[in-house]
Amino acid sequence: MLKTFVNSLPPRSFWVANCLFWLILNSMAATNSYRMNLHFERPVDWFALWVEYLPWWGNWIIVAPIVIATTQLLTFDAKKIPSFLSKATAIMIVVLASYWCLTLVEVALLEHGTISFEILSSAFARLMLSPLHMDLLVYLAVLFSGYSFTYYQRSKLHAKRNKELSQQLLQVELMSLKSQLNPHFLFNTLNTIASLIRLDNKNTAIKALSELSAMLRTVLENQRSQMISLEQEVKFIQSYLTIQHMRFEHKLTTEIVIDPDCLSIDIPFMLLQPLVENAVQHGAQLASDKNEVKLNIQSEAEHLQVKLVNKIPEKDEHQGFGIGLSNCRKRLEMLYQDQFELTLTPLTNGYFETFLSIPVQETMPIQETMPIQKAMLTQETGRINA
Amino acid sequence: MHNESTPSSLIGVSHSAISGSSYSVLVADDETLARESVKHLLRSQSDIGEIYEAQDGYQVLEVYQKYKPDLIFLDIQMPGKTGIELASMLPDDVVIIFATAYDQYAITAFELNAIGYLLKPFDDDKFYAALAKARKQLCEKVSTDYRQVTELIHHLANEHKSTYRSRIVVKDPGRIR
Repeated sequence: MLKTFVNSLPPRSFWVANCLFWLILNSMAATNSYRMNLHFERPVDWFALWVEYLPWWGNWIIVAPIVIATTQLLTFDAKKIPSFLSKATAIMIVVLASYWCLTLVEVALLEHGTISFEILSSAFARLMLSPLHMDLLVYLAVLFSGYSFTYYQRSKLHAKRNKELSQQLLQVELMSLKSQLNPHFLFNTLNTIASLIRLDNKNTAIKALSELSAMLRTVLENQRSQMISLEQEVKFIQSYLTIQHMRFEHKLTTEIVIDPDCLSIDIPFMLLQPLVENAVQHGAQLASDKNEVKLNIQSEAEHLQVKLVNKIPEKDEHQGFGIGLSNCRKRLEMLYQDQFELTLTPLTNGYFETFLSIPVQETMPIQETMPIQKAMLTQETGRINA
Repeated sequence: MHNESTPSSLIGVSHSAISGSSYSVLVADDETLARESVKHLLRSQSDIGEIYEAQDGYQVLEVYQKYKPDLIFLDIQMPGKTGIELASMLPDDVVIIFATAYDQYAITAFELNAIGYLLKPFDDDKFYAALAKARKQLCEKVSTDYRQVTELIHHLANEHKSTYRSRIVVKDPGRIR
């Protein structure tokens, strides 16, 4: 109980300001009285007046922090106003009574240097002549200042907590927006490998397994990170394309041109792969053979520029393309705000260009560590989190 | 139609007595290797006759119109039309086994009266188990066809006097199998 009360007392910096404040008030009261005495031509000593006022204004140096501490302990609750008011009144009576007792003792000691019943009763008689309502007003002023201070402190704490929470939420959202290895792709690839074994095509089966392992390894190693070097992302895409070539050999031709200077640049992991995957899936949907997918990456003026050209069917019946792209856009917005560019432009002959430009950054504003552990394969989504 | 099947033994008709000695199969998958794999598994079966292939939804409809295969192995994610769309477009009595990489459609597939649902990659045992179920279904279908023909003959004989009813049957015979 006492410990809680001591903990509720204002911080040390407050005590200094508090001390100064009441001493200034004490000085103002003394000066006022001094000028009044001069006006009525009664010569007095300013310092003697100042000491005389000390038991009245100076006492607040001790009492005010206690009043403020009570505002920390007694929380205002709109649903329990009568209970709050009765408690607040009880506290007020105790605090004011203590204040007056303290004043009595101080006045007695200042005037007589000792305490006896007669001295105390004459001091009490003087107290009864003093403006008690002023003490009440001061008490209420301190109380309301205390509540303002307490609630200001609390709202600052809430704001800080809210900021932390929204930061965490951003991380979680970013993780959920991060593209995931398509389960259709994963199981279809496993089926391709099973088919290759069934048809006694061992070498190709082993090649497919090693490419799929490389992809899974990259996904596992970067589970908790947002960023990856372009080189790793491109290797990931190349593994993906190698497998898709095995599955849809006649349907697909791919071309990747990358400026070697860009390879060390960090980009959000699995940002480009879903775009390539969409392009490949569109190609696989087409009746025509040898559908081109061209990927061109270069850096220009502190920006990484990605150009992806592919053919799309006139009537797009493939599901899920829009979601993939809107996720990509949301993720870019969170990572780069408005400093990126993502445009889709139809070209001639049924070709389509996806253009992406992101700023090249040394360090990312969003750090890699995630406070929340994510399972690799979650049952609800059935997706392998990248 | 085939839900209310009668066991073939009661009717006493074996499937070969009516429809010949082998079933024709359509293997639909957009991936060559996946089709090859199914074909490889089918070739070891003596009662499998013609094997047709389709690599997209439109080809499935084309091949079905042309050859009326007894059994279809149907991939779900295919260009043109998905396996689910195709299953709802094809007649009820065609026997379908879905073969897909991802199981989010399993419930829909069974609602569409698919006889089997193979998750890729599948082993030989699962494949042949699904094929056995399909065989049984095909047998029953043939028996049902036979039973229905018999019923129709009875029906026609009984209703002979009623020219009004028989006229409908005669007018639209294609609707009764």
